Amino acid sequence: MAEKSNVLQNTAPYSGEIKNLILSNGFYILCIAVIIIFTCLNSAFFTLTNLYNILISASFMIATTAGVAVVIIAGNMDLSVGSTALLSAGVMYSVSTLGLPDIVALIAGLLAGIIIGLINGLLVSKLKFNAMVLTLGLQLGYRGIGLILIGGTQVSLPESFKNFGKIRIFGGLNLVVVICLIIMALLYIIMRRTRFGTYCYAIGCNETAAKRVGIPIDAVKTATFVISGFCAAVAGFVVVSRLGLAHSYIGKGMEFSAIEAAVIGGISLRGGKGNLLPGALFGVLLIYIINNGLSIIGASEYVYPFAQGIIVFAAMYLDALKNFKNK
Amino acid sequence: MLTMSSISKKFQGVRALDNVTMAAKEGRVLGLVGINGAGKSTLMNILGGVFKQDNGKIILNNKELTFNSPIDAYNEGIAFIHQEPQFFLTLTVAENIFISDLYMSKFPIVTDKKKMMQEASKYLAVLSADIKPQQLLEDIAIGQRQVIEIVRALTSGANVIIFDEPTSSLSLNEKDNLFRTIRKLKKEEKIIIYISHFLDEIIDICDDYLVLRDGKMVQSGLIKDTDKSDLSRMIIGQEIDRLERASINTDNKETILKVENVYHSNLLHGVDLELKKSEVLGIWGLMGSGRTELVRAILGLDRVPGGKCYMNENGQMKEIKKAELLRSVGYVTEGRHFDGLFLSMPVWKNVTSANMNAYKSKKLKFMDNKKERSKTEKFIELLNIKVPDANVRLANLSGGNQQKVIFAKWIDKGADIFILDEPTRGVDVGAKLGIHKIIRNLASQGIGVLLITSEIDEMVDLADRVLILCNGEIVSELSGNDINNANLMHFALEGVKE
Repeated sequence: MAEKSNVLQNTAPYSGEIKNLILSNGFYILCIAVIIIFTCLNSAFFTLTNLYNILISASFMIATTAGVAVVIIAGNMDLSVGSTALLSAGVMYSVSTLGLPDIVALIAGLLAGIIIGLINGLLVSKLKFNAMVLTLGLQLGYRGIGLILIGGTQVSLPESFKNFGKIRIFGGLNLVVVICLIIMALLYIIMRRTRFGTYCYAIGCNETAAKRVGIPIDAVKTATFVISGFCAAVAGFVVVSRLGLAHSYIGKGMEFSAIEAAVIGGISLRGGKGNLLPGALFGVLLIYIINNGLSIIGASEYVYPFAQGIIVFAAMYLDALKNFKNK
Repeated sequence: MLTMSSISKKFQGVRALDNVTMAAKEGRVLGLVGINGAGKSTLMNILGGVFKQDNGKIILNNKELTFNSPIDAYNEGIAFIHQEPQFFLTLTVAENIFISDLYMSKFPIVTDKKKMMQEASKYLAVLSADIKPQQLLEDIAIGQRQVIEIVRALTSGANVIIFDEPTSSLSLNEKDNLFRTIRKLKKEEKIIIYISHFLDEIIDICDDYLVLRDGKMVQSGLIKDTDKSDLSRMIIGQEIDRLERASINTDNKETILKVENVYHSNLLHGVDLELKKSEVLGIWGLMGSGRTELVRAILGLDRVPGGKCYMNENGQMKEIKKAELLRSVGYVTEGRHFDGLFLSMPVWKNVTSANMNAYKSKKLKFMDNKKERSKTEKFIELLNIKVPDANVRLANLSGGNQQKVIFAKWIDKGADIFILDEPTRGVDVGAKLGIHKIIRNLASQGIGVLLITSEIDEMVDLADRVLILCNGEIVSELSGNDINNANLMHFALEGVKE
């Protein structure tokens, strides 16, 4: 037997721990490379102020991606998060016009997100809708309701929303950014440390096996959509609080950015694999680092999608290489 | 005391179980034996809640049980060690073991990973398995994964434990450990049901036996009142409806396919084989001996580090890439629903699917549906496929007819090498005979057939030459009259012995 295994090792030409290391951390190496390149091009890039800028612009996507990542890990897909963000912003606006305390408007907005998640989740788990098709269809309706509630291209919310967005802690970091990061961290802990999280990974990995061992599949799936809806509502609030305005463009394309960020952060679209931290977080950050860097070096706005595309492709290629080798 | 009385079950008209009664007692191991398709797995799937019986009762400790799902059976303390276990590849070993009963820490909703790791390694140590609880399951070799399911059953505190071919993927050492565990479980007054092909194992570990054949009970009794040859007689039984054996001498025939030195991680250790014109070459070996892996490696479906393929081109053996080979053979796979058929398409589209170039028009490359249909009609008659017409969707056909459609597909392609992996799995007796005739016919037309089957009769009836595959190596070759039930049984029983 010993002889045999020697033969085997000789016939397999794969060696080199370094290659392995590079492949398995390829995404982070890519992130660092991008940061170094932008820093070399313009020293203003690598400063604390600019880091805060990146975080502020990325904040709502951090919350959204966290929620979408949970759904993806459990083996589903949520394409309605952008519309949910718009709808919850709409609810916040219309409740605030009723003369109730502003906190009620906020809670109503978040509740709207949860209800949408519940609808999506129940339809997917109980009526066995295909999650992608269902949320792609329903998001039109959600967006429609949001647009009706806003009733114009742009409406103002009470001052307190804008003031909340201005609260800064830790020497200049916005409170909303911290909230988004906390949501991401909390969901990471839930996914990796609780029974619910383990069930999510198990269902995403192998639903047949999950059924066999008696995991409450329907309840877990529904819960993931509720989480995603809530996170999208938070994202809606973050956008609104930054400007003090609700406008009809909130959430446009957000769902695809979130999936993109999750995937380049190493979360498998097949489910059951990947981490919220650091994976998904850096996935979001990479996209905003590229945008921010390009604007700092004064690149034309039309270059942004192209540069983004290249980087996203590179990240996915590295991931594919890794998987290919593992096979 | 567990009793399953007068159990019957039909699948799509095929009678899988016919009035079978089984009794298993505490502190004893019941050996359930029979050839593939005898109904062992069906019976156990009913006990495990996977299938529901058409007739009959399950009684455990004087209580009648009805199962609507595997969870019901699990909750009654019935654990099933599956032949093909299902796992969560991206979770850790410990999580896989405790998934249905995760340890919770004092802090609400948070799981206690440390305790799970500890408990898991305790049980793994009992089986002396070289697995660490924090490893991801996808990093565990397939052969070792079954151990994890055994541990899962042990930790759930089940009272009835069903082992379905548990040793087929275990090494000798792991097997000894498993038997030690089973003896321990016996002392704890568990009811154990043990399914196996290996009669040595049955005699070694079991106290009682029940022999099934074609879904019927043949005999049951105490192991100490019987012996191996008795058992194998009961298992094989009287032959019914068999093809006249017509083995030919193939020494002088032209070689059409030559394979050298095939390696596959730890499953295959340098396999050579030569396939000749108009012969049926059988590969005989137990489940886990590397049969399917060998074929997949030859065809380039799994990436393997070593192995060369040569094909006959106008009398000369030319080396070819393995992927090229796949393009020029007819490959009847093990699981026709999984990778053999387009179930939602009509028969005629399935038949012509491997050879579509032959049916397109010259200039605009449109498909000539009329031609496809008429060709299919010919195949339906030729292969005696029982369908109302060629437009029936394949999902509505019986297993035997589906299998014939696969043959039609490859014959239409004009392949001169056929690779058959379990060609009659899940096919009723009549259709089986039909398929055997097709295979014989193919060989007589000069086609080389590579046959893998776990059914001893099929091998004896069809093969002109048999290679014995054991632990990833060809250990022997049989031809002519040496291919008989006794010899093949002998190799099967000696199978895992080193």
